[in-house]
Amino acid sequence: MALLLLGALLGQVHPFSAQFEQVIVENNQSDTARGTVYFVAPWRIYYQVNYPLNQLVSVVMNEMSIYYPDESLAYVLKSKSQFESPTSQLSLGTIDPARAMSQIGLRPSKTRTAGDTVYSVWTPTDRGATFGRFTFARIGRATVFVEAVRRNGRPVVRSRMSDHVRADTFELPTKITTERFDTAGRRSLEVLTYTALDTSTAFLSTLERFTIPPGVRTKISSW
Amino acid sequence: MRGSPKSLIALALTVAVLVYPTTVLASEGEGTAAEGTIAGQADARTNTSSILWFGAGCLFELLGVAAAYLITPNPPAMRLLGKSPEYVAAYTDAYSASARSVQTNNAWLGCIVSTLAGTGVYILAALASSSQY
Repeated sequence: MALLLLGALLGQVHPFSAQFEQVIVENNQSDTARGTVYFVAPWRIYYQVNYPLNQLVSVVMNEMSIYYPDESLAYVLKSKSQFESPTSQLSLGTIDPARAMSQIGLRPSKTRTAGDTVYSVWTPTDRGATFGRFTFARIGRATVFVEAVRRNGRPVVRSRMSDHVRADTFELPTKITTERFDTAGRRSLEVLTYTALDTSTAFLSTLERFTIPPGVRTKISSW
Repeated sequence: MRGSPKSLIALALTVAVLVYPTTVLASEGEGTAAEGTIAGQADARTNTSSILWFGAGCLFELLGVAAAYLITPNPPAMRLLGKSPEYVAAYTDAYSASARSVQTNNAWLGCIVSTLAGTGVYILAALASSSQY
């Protein structure tokens, strides 16, 4: 269902390309990847990674291909279902909580304003729900903070979004900092930064290079 | 990009994204096979719902167990960006094996609990029935 929703939402977003940097920090270690993302449709996304290595990744429908041109090696993962879209975090900045939380079993419990930021707290109507509370913070149409906590009050995830740019009628965040907490309370941090957002479609004709050339050693896994 | 339906979708999506539990594992550079194995196992354990598969075993019994063997969740693509071929191979193998292990163990547990509970209820009903005569 999440993928259907994601597809429906991102289906409204026009093709774009952008430079990206992903930094993941856990246990005082950081892990960085940089490159360019080419978004064609929710079911057709391409990544050209150039740091820390050269890698061409395509996520197309139920298939994910990872091609290493320097090693002349590729992996293809075929699944029965669509792969999770790596750009899902972008959608967080498009949220208008007042419009639809009730549609998914949540009700507003509190709203407060601090400066130009409006905070709204939502709680599930179902007492058996896993999650205890969602908090959204918005400045105008842009969502700048989202937090989900468990019923015991412990956080699950916190995302802070900034540097929004307008794409059609959406306010897309180009910097997303996400803290995740597992059930043991361990925290990890993920920072996604998008720059040089380009909504021209000239890149569409260049995507052939993501095709794995004949003769490349390829491992195919079916899921 | 016009009107409330998209906002509804966007909001529902946010919740879907938020409730989808994921973890990250940090490693230096492109990642080794050993790191890929550890990360794949950890992510699979976190991303796979024990409660869901326990419930499937309870409700559908052997069908739930069969589904646990047949369905394998996809690895998250973002965890593979910038990773070495060795890491990717190890991660995906470990993710698949661990996710399936969590699913099947919990589905079997649910199935056994459901069967024992059903048997217990049957025995109690039989005892109650026989005591009436």
